[in-house]
Amino acid sequence: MNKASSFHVRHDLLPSHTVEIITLLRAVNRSEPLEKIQQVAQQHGYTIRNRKDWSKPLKSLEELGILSENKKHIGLTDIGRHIAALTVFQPDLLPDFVHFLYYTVYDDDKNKRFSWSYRLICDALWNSAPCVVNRDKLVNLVTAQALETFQVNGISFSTNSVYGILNWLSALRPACIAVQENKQRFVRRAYCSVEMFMLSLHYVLRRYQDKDNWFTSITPKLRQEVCRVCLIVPETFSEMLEQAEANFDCLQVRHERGDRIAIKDFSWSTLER
Amino acid sequence: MKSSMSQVVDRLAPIAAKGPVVATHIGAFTETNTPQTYERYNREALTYVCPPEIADFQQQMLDKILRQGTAIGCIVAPFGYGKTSAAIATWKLCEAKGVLALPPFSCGSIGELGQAMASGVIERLGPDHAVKIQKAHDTLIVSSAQRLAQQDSEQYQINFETALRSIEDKIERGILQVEAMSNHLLIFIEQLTQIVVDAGYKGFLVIVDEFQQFLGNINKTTITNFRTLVWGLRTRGSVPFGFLITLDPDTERNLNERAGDIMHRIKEDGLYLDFTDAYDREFPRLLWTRYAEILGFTDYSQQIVDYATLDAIGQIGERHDLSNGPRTVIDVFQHIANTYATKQQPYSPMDLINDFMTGAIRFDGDQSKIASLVTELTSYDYIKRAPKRFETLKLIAAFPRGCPREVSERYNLADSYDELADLLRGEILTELPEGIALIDLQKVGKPQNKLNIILKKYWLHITEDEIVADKAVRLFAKYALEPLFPPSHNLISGWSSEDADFQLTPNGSYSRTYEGTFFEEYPKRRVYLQVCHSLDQAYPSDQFADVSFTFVLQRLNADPIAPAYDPTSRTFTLSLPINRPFDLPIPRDVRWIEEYLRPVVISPGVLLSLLDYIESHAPTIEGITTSEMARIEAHQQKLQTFLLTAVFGENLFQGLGLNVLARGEQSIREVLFSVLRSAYPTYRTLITSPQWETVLKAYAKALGLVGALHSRGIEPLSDAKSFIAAIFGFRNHAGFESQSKQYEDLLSIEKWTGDSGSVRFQRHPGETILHNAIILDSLDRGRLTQIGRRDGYLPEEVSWLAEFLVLRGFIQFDEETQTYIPTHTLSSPELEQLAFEIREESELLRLVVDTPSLRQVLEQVARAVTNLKTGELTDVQLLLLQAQNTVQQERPRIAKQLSSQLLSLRSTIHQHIDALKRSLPISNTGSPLDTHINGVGRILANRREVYAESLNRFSISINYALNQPSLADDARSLYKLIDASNAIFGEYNALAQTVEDILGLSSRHLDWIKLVQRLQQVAKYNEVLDTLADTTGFEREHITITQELMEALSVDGLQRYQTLFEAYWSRVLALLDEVSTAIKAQQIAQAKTEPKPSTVSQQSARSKKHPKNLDPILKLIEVADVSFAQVVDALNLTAEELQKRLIELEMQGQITVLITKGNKKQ
Repeated sequence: MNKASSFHVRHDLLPSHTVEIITLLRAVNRSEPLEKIQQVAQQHGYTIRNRKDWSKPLKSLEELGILSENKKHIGLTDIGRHIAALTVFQPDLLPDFVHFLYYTVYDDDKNKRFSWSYRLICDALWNSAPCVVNRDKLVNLVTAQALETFQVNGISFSTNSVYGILNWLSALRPACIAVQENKQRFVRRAYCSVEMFMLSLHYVLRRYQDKDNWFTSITPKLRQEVCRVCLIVPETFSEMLEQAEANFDCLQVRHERGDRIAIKDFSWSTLER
Repeated sequence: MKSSMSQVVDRLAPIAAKGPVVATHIGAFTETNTPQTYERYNREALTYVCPPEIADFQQQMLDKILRQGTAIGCIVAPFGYGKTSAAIATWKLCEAKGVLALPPFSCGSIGELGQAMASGVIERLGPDHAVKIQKAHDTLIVSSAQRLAQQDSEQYQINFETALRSIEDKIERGILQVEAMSNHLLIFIEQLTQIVVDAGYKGFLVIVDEFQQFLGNINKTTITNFRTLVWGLRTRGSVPFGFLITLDPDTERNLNERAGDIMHRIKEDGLYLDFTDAYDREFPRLLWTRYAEILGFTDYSQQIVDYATLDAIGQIGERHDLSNGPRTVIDVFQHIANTYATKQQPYSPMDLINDFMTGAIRFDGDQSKIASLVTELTSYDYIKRAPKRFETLKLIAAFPRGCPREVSERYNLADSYDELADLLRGEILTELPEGIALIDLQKVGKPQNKLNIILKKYWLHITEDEIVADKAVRLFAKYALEPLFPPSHNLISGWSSEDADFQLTPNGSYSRTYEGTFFEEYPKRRVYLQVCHSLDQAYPSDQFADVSFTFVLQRLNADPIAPAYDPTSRTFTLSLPINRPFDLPIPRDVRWIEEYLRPVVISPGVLLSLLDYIESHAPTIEGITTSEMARIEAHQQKLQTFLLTAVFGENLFQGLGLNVLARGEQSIREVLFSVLRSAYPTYRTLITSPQWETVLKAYAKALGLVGALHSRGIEPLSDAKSFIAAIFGFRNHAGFESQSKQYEDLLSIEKWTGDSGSVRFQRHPGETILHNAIILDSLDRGRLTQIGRRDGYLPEEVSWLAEFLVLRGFIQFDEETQTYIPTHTLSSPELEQLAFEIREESELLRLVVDTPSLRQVLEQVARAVTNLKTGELTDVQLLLLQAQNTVQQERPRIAKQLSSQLLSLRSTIHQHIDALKRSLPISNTGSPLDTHINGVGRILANRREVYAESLNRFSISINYALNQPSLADDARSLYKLIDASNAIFGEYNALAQTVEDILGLSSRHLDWIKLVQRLQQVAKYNEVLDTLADTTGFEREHITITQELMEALSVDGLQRYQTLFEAYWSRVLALLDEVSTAIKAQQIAQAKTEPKPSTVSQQSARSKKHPKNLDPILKLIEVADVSFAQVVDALNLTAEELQKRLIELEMQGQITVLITKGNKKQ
């Protein structure tokens, strides 16, 4: 991405449509013209077939690194293929993965400012949880912070952008958005999927890892950051770590001289094994 | 000699006969009841085992009394915990130590207390002291209230009891204050104690058992009295009197709340004992030992019940939640004593648990916890199928603190003990310091993960048969099929079912029909689902279904059924190997479950039964929190999602030609969509929104308001926007264009700009299908619905489509046959004839009036004729009907036009008739020409009469033509009118000129009369002139004219009437003019002295000296000679004025007046 994107998180990218797009692209198994994809969607009765313009959701998925477009041919990227394989039998993992990508792609590409907005709002909600989701306040937060961080005024970020974020937060399982007394409330989750936890752990660990020391201490700050990415309560970190350790050989946990962890050779493909 | 067994049985008899409760003595002691009480109490005391705490308490109380101190004691324990027994033991102890202790009794008031004390002491001390005691009692105890009541009874002659109740009631309500009774009691106690001491005793003890009886409802008076009593006793410290009460915990709690100071005072003295916990695990052993000692079966005690069992009884007995304490212990011992004779075996822990489970032990705690828990655990197949496991579990259940392994060895259950400990440790069993125990019997320390507990119980419970049993069919329906059809949100999304659940069919399958949709293109579809074990069980739906699925749950060893699809009935038959393990790993989040279930391997059947087990058992776990429940539900959901995605996918439909991309719910949706598309390729739904019926109602109404040309879409409806919108029920046309989109296939907007719009009604594809069917054969509603169904149309849609066809005029409903039939259509020759007739009439009408409508008619007819060969006959018919309609509308206009023309003609005719009928004047000048003129006049009159008559006939014809009925509607009548009109006008036009000529001649006749009058005038003038001048010329001219005219008029005078007149009129006028001028001239001359010539001419050389304002006469004669008449006419002078002026001019010498005769100048 050469030019900085807008701060807006597209609300056109719905979880239901994302599932269908990924399913369609997985089925064709290679890059195809958009018309062909649309035709297949039409033949199979997918809900996205009623959408006249696919450009915005496709663009969002491209920005997240799930699909790529080349000469008007669309196909899954490597990450997209892994996500497709993982979500075939566990469709409830998709919101986790998309949330993770939204949260983290900014680190690899500073032009993806929508990710910066997404992360800012998720962090704000997690830090003040449990709290009422006040869309206007969140818009103001992003607007003010964008001015301070990027010296950009009058950004394109509205309540629609917040909806774009809430689309995915609401789809997470277990949920972090609950409706109480006709208001949306954000609560930290009691746990998350072990895949989500591993991705987040790996992501955070990268920043803490010492080149000379393979194992990294599990500091309260590290716990906090991992839990923030996963949107879970910090108290559940140990339980999730235990579960992750049981499921992934690449994760090693040491308890002597304090709790330390190391992750070796982890990638999206590890989740499939 | 009895056998040892029978001896033992005999010795156990007292235990067997032991009542569960020791009855407390109530009220006063009498000769009769006192011995009974003593005997009962002594028997109880015999087998009473006093726990150390109670023994200490009793000793303290005794010591205080013996030290000459007043002792107030309180024993608190739940019902059945031996309060009375402890009180009896205290009584016995004190009696033994020289204290006069009354047997424990209960009472309900101070009065009763006093009476019991008095009577009790009297019974002990004998009659010698009775008088003194009674006197003190009567003085002090008989209540003031009673005295008052006695007084009232005597005074008012009322019943004593009634009087007493009345007074006590007043006291109760505070209306009446009486002297404190407790003070009297205190004095009485003092006196009584003294009497007792005087009698040689060391002290006096009163034990009030069940003190809650005394307290009653603990009202204010009671508390006051109790307080006074306790305070009073405390202050009398040196009286060797002991007062012991027993209470249950509830009463104690009440007193603490309402009179906490009293209880505090009692506790201060240290004689307060709550022995709820006094009976520990040793109590049964101690009691049994005591029983054995007292009843003499010590040597046999282990044969009756062994130490392990006694310990088990003790471990259960010490738990308030598992038993009723000592009462349970005694209940068990009583049961042992009762059954030993039969059993003749030592009573074991397993026997104990059995008796709990059967209810033989009555006092097993309020919740029967042991019984229910053991019943549940021993119902598991894993436990049931091995008797040793069953016994071991009961053995472990008997030891809540833990069953030592040694105990299991004692009962030869060590192997199963080890096995269970290994398999069930953590979820069902826990290891405690003393041994293995049931987790659910522990008060604390249960495992955190409730799901683990459920899984282990499931593991105990599940069998292979259970997995593949009939239940699996219902579970598959519930957990695998129901989630595929989520409840409906609205008419075009979601599903519903008439049945609350899957129903058993006659063949043994379970079926359910869902109605709803996933797709807006195919609303309200019906899907029939059934699940069975074999194809034999399959049962077809008795109602219509768009798609059917039959799932056959097969065992691995059964012959596999290949997937099949019947396109005729649109039925899928799909086989599922219910107990085949999944060939893919389950999600990581729940993978640990595999460990718990090993060696059971996860298959669809296992997952189904596990899901059901979790759902039914999770809510029953004791102490489960909301968050734990939510976590379990999340795992459940994960397992269920995995089940759906593993079962439903492309493999399930392999070989059926369906390209299924997704898994789980989405795969079923894809299949449904594919089937519906291929089954109903041309289907276009009418149900486009939840308000679809309202939309169609408006459309139907609009169809009814427009003509067939528009409703059939042959021509667009073009009109003002507001009009178009109004016929669809819109009050305002704003927004109609966008709203019209909801009509989809039924309506198109061709133009919508400015103030006008153009819309075209369109026939729905469904209408075409139905119409074509009806054309082939008339159809009743049922058949029509069936035909519609074939193409995917719902019955309600078919109903609407039929209505549209009726409204458009394509079909009609025959009430007689109750069928739909096509509307009648003319044949091609008939249509040709119709076109010809319309064209002929139009052209005829155009001859009368050429209107744009008639031109349009001719265009329509031309188009219809063109379409006859190629187009829909009904459309051609419609065009012609429309043209005919236009012609019909033009007819009145044409008729009106014709009528107007005829009226105008009639008016003209009448004018002519009037003119012709007016009498011609007669010439009566005296001239010989009168005869000729009048003769011509007579001929003319005759002709006038004739033509007047002819014209009258025309008028009559016109009237006749105008008065014909239905001119506007009836073409024939119009044709008649046209014919009549043409005839009238034709004939009249032929006559009109002649009439004009006659009228012209009539007018000329008047002129002739004038001419004759002029001639006569000439004659007269000649007569006048003859006196003055020579008139020969004039006369000759006059005569000539007259004769010529007489001659001319005599022969065809009428024919030459016009020409003759024109020829002679000017001659006559000229002659008249000359004669009159001559006369004038003569008159002028006569006015002068000498007659001078009467010619006036210009004197060329005479006078050029004209005055500036040239005299008009001079101007006239400058040009030419003029006659007298010309001057008169030109200058508008009278003859007299002219004559005068001429004379003046002639006298001035400016003019010369000349007289000429006729054309000859003289």
